[in-house]
Amino acid sequence: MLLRHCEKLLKGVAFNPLCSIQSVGLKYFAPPINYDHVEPAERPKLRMFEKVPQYPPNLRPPKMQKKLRFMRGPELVHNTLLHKQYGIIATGGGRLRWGHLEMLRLTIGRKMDTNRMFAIWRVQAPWQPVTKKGQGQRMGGGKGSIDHYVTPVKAGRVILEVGGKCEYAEVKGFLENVAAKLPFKAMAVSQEMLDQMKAEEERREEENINPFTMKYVIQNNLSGCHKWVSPVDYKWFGKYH
Amino acid sequence: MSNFAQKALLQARLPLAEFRRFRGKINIQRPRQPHYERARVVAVTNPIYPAPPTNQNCFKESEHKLKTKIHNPYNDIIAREVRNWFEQSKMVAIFHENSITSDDLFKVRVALHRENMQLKSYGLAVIKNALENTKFEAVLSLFCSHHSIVFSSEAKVARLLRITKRTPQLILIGGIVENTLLSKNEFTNFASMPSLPVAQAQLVSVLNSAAGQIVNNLESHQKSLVNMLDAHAKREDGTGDSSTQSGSSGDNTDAKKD
Repeated sequence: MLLRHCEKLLKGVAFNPLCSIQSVGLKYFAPPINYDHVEPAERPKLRMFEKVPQYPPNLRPPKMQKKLRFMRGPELVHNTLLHKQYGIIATGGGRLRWGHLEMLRLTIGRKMDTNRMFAIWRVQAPWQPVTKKGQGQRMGGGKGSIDHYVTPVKAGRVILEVGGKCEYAEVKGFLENVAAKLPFKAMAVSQEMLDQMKAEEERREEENINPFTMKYVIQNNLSGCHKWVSPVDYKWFGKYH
Repeated sequence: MSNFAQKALLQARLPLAEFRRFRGKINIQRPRQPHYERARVVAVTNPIYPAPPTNQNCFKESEHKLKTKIHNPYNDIIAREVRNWFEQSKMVAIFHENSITSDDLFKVRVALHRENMQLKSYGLAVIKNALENTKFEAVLSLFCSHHSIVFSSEAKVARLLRITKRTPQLILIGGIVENTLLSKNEFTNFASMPSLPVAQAQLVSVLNSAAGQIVNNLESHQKSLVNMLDAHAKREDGTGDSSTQSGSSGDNTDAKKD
C-alpha cells in the first residue's frame, strides 16, 4: 500500500490547524542589528557654541527687533533627520539660549557612549540679540543694551541628532529628559516615529469626512470669516498661530 | 438743510478697519483663546472620522498575530534534520504522548537506544516545515497534539511494540515501514509477520511446489505406465524367481525340516 492510499486511515483523526497546544518551542534569538550603513562621525560629542557671536572690531553689535516670525509657523527646511536615526525636534516655536544649548551638550555628552554613538547640532549658535534695560531704569532713553543672544526655533525644527551603533531605546531616556527641559515643547524622535507621524497625519487628513475644513472656510470666506482671520491664517489655515 | 449737510456730508466717518501701529506681540508658547466667532468656526471645522465598524471580528487580532510570526532560521535547520530522519529511517512509529514523567520517558529512550532506535519529538511548526510537499505529507494530520516519534534504521516492529508495551502513556497512532504508511492495526500485524528473508523463502518454496506439481502431473501417466510395466516385468520375472526362491526357500525349509 502506498502513502497515497492512506487518507482512509486518518479519517478519524480530526486535524485542526488552529488548535494550539502549549509545548516547548525553540527560543528565537534575533540576529544582531546590522549597523554597516552607519558612518562614524569624526567628533562624537557636541561642539561648544560661543555665547556671543564674534563681530569684526569696527562693527558695533547691532540691536534687533523681536522678530517673532523667526519662531512662528512650521519649519520647512531643517525638519528631517540627516542620519535617519534619532534626534530631538521642537513641536512648538521658541528661543534657545546659550544655557539651554550647554545643558543639551553637557547632558548628552555625559549620557551617551562615545565609542558607539555620536551627536551633532542642527541649530546655529545664538545669533539674535535680545536687549534689556537695566534694573530700576525709568522708561525712555532709547532701546536697552544687548543682554544675551538666542537661537529662534520654529515648530518641527530638528534641534540635534544622535546616531551611531545604537538603538532608540538606548538614547530615548536622556533625549526625553533634555527635551523636557527646553523652553518650548519638544520631543525625542526616531526616524520611524517621524515617518509614522507623517503617515498618520496624511491618513487623518484623508479620512476626514467633514467637508468644511479651515482651509475651505478661509479660502471661500464662509460666514464672512475674512473679517476676523489674521494674516497668518491665509498661510497656515489655523494650524499655526 | 445746513444741519443735514453738517451731519451727513461734512462729518468724517470712522473707518471700518482700525489700524494700530504697534499691535501687541503674540505669545507663541501659549496662544490666546480664540474669539467666540472664531471658536465657533473651529468647532465646525473639527475633523470628523467615520465610526469604526462594529462588526469587527474579535479573532482578527489573533489571526493577525498568527500571520506575523517571526521566521526563525533555526527552525529550518531542525526541519531539514527531521526530513532527513524520515527519509533515512526504515521504520518510523508515531506515538501520542500522554502525561509522562521524564524518568519514565528516559527508561523508554534507553530501551529504544539499545535497539538502535531514536525517540524524538518536535514542534508542530517544525514538522510542518519538514514534511510539507514531500511524500510524507499525509502523516502531518497525525501531529496535532503531544507526540513522540521513534526512528529506526531497521524495521524491528515487534521489538518496538514489546518495548512500548510497558509504557501505556505512549499510544501508537501510526507508522511508516519501508515507505508505507501503516495504521495501528496494520503496524501490529506487521509485527506478527515473519521477517523478509523467511517470507521470501516461503514464497520460493510455494513457487517451487507449484512447479513440482506440474512436473508431477505431466509425468504421472508415464510414471504410472512405467510402474505398471515394471510391475508386469517384475511379475513375469518374479514367477521363475519366486519358484526358484520358493524352491530354495523350500529347500531351506526342507533342509531345516530335515
